[in-house]
Amino acid sequence: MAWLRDIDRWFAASVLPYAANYRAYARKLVGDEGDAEDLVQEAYAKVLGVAEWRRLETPERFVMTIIRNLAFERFRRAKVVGIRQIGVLEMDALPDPAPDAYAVTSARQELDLVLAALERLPVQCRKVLTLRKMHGLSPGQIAVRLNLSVSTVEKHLAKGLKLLTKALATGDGRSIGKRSSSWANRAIKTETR
Amino acid sequence: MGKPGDQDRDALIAEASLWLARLDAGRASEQDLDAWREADPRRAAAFAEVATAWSRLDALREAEDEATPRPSRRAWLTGGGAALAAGLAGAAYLERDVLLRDRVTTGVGERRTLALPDGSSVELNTDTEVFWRFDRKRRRLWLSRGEAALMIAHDQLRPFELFTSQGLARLAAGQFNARLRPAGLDLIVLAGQAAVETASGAARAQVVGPADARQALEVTPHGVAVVATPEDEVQSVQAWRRGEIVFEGQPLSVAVEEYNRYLTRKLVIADDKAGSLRLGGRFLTGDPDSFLDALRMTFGVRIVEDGPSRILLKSR
Repeated sequence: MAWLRDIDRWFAASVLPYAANYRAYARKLVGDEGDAEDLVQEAYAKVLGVAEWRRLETPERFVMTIIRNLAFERFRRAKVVGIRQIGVLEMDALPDPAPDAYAVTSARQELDLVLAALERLPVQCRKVLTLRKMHGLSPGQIAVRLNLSVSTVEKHLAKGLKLLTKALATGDGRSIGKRSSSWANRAIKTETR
Repeated sequence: MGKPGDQDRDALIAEASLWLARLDAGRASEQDLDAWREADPRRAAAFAEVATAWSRLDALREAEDEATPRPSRRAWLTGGGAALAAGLAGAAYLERDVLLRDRVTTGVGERRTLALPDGSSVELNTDTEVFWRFDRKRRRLWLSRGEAALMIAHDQLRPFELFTSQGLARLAAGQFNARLRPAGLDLIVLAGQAAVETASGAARAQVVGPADARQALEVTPHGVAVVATPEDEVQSVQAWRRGEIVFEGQPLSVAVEEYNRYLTRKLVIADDKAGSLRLGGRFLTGDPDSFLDALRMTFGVRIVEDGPSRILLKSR
C-alpha cells in the first residue's frame, strides 16, 4: 500500500502479529486492561521511533522488553505497588511470544475471522466496506449505488474500518474494554486489598 | 487531550481510519498524511494497524475469486439452509452479495412488519429471521427461521423469489404465508400464484378468485405436495397477524406446541392423559395467562409452576 512507509510495513509484518502476546504480557504486569492497552500503545510508539529498526533481529522480543521497562517505570512512579506485581517483575524473564501467533491461522480461518467481524458491523458500514473491498467499487460508485454523498460513504468507511480494526485486534472479535481507573488508583487498590 | 501523545487508543484508531478513508477516496494527499503521522509516533502505529485491517479485507476479494463453495459461510448466513437453495438456484445465489443483504428478526413473542421498497410487505411472526435484497433484476427474500406473511406487489420486470432451506419459491403478486417447520416448509397461497422448486421436485399452485379454495404447497425433503387448505387452517394463518391463535379440536399436545412458539417460559405436558385432551377456542398469543385460565377452568388441567423456564400441565 502506497500510504505505508518501509517502517510501517515492517511494523505491520513483524510487530503487529504478536499483538495478542503483548497485551497478555502487559495485562499480567499491570492487571488492568486499559492500563495494559496504554503500555502496548506506548511501546508501539517507541518502536516506531527507533532509527535502527532494520537491525532489530527479534522485534517482538524488543517490544516485550519495552513493555516491561515501561511497566517498571510506572511502578516506581506509583510508589505503592501490589505484591503480585513485584513478583512478576522479579521473575524478570520475558515470556517467549508464540513464534507462530499469526502463521497458524489458515487462509480459511482468516477469512472466517474477517467475515465474522464484518458481519457484526452496522448495516451501512458493512455494505460500504463490502462494495469497496469485495466488489472493488470506488467510493464514488458506492455513493451512486447507495444514493449517498461521497463524504457519507467516507464516514461509513472510516467508522467500519475503526470497528473492524478493534475487533480484529482482539482476535476473537470482542471489543476492547474501556480504560477504567488511572494507574495510581489501581495500584493503591491492589495494596489495600 | 492537550498534547498529541495524550490521545487514547479509540480516538487514535478513529482518526487513522478517517485518514485512510479520505486517502482512499482521493480526498487527502500523502503529504497531508505524512504531516499528520510524523507529529506523533502513536499515530503512525494506529495508522499501520488500521491499514493492516484494511489489507486483511482483501481476503474477501480473493475468496470471492475462488469457485469453491464454502458451506460454513453459507451456514453462517442463512442458518444452514442456503446451501440447498444455492444448489437449486445456481447462479441466483451469489456469494458476493451476502453481506449486502438486509436482515430483520423478531424475538420470541414478537411480531414485526417489514415494508419493502417495491410496496410489498412482510410480516414476521414470533422467533423469525429474514434477509432481503432487491436489485435491478430480482427481488429476493430469505426466510431462515420462523414464519412470515407476504404481501407481494406486482413488478413485471423483477420476479419475487423466496429462498428457504427447503427450496426456492417464485411468487407472483398476491398473498402468501410461509412457515418453516422442522419437517419442511408450508407455503400457503391465499391469493396469487406460487411455484416451488426443490431438490426432490417442483410444483405450482394458484388462487385466482376469492371463491377459489386456498392452496398449500407442502414441501418436505421427499417432495412437494399441493393440497387444498381447509378453512380452519386459513383462519389460523390469518389469526397470528392479529396476535391470536385459534384451536379447533386439536389435541392439547399440538396446541401447546403451537402456543409455545410465543413463550420463553414453555408449557410442558406432564402426562399422556392431559396431552390427549382436545380443545377449541381463540386465544391471544400475548396473554398466556388467559390461555392457562381456560385450560384450568374449561378443561380441568392443573397448572404447576416449575421454575423460571417452564410450567407443567397435569391432568387431575
